[in-house]
Amino acid sequence: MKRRTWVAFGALVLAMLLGAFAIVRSNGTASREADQATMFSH
Amino acid sequence: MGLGVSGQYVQKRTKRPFAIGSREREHPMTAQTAGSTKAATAGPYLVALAATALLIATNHFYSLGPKALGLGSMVFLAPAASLTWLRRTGNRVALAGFVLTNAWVVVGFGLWKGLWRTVLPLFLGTFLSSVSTAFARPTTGPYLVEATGILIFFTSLIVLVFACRLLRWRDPRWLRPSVVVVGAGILALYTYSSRDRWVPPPGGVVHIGVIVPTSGPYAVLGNSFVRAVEMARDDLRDTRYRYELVVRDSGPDPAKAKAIIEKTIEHERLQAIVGGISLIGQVTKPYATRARIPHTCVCSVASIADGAYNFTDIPSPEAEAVRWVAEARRRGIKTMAVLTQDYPSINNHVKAMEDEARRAGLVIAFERRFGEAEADFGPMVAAAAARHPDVFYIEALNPWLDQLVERLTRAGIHNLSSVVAPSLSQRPDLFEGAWYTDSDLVDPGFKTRFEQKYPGTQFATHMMPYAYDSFRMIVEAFERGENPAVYLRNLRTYPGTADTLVKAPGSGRFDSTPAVWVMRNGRPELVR
Repeated sequence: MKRRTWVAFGALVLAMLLGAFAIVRSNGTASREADQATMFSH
Repeated sequence: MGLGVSGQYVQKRTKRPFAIGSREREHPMTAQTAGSTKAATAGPYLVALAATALLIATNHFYSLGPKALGLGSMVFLAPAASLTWLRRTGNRVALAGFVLTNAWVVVGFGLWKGLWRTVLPLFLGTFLSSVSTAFARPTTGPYLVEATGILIFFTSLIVLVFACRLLRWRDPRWLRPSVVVVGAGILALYTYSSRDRWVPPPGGVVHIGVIVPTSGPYAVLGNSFVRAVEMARDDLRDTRYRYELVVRDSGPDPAKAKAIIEKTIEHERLQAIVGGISLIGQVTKPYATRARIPHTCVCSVASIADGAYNFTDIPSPEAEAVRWVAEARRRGIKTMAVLTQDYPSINNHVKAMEDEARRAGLVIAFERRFGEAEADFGPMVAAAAARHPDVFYIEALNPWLDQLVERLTRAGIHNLSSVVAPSLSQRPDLFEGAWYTDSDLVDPGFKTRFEQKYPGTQFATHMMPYAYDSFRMIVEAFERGENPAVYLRNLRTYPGTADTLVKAPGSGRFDSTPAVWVMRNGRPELVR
């Protein structure tokens, strides 16, 4: 992949990580029980 | 020979049908598209694979514990071993193994876990829930779990790119437009599948689970709760659908309740759950979310009320605290001793009350929190009495509540106060003269009807009216032909039996204003 593709890719990942931080903060974190049942039990 | 020196390695061997990483002899699939003259090395692929494995282990550590390290190792070793095998033998079975193990990483973790279970709920799910209540706000875990989920998606794509390079699979012309079409299709599929829509109950029968502990220390409360829901069902007239209660004893132990709740939701095809008792509500919450059915918990633990599928409907600890402190000040109280049980909803009451008390300048002269193992309240009561507080704030569930109050009475202490607790007592005579805050009861006739219908059944003011209202709210949703979870999300006010319930947009908590009660002649009397 070209250098600028990697830069765009990295920028997208970083933006998503920051966005996730904001969303988790505003939603509040689910309890361990909730995580296990809704996120991992599939 | 090491994996990272593929070029040199493959050149020394000659009896292999497929030479990976060289142009010595090409795989039939790669021969169709191969154009590169440059041998691809395994280094970048292995780095991407190792990063993905590390992220998968981290992501799953939260749920699997140390077993996640084994999973991470498998994610790295299985594709790496198949690559080694492929390079040494170059046969078709090894190639299939390499393709399959990479598909496991890319599809199983990258697309399923990373994209479908993390990226789409987090971003698209959050966006959809912000524009329409037909979409539930997604449950988010700790940031580390969400962040690693996102990264698994991206690193698995890098694994895919480098794996294709190792196999010399070049992008055909149709690939990029196809990615756009498939991507749009995935977004549309997620949007469609995450929308909560109205589905008429099969056979015209609605199964509503009533999940509370009806055995163990909460048996009295749990059985009264079931009676209140039965009364609500019996009060229904001329409904479009038939409402069947699926009553299940969760037991008092949250760990054991899990299996009961999960089994009940799956086997009984529940369309809604009415529950009570915060410990059990916390366990019920994730299962209701997974089943995408509404769960109303007659409890006050804020973390349960996510406003997506889980709702609570008794006065908040903060509302109780404001009312309690106002009454304490009216009575001239300046100091207090706090003796309470370590239990989620009680801890919330205590925290809110103490915060409010400090703001009002009240002094907490003594504080002790006890567990279920507490057998002798004597030393605790003596230590508290030594501080001569104006009032003893007590809160516990039975049997500890009555044991504590009995000990206080024996010590000649009668200046008692609480939030809710006296209405749970089996010995209300012990509380004679005690004042406390509890739910209001705008319809006193409700209590009379309940006690006439179920003589001898305890009427807990902070639970029975809400159990009755919870059931009726769910029935209203079905009778209107609306998805019950969406109906509850949209509901702002409800004329309840105890008080008018009010819910803020996006919230899962139906609030109401508590009132002050006093125990007189062994019965609670509303003061307001």
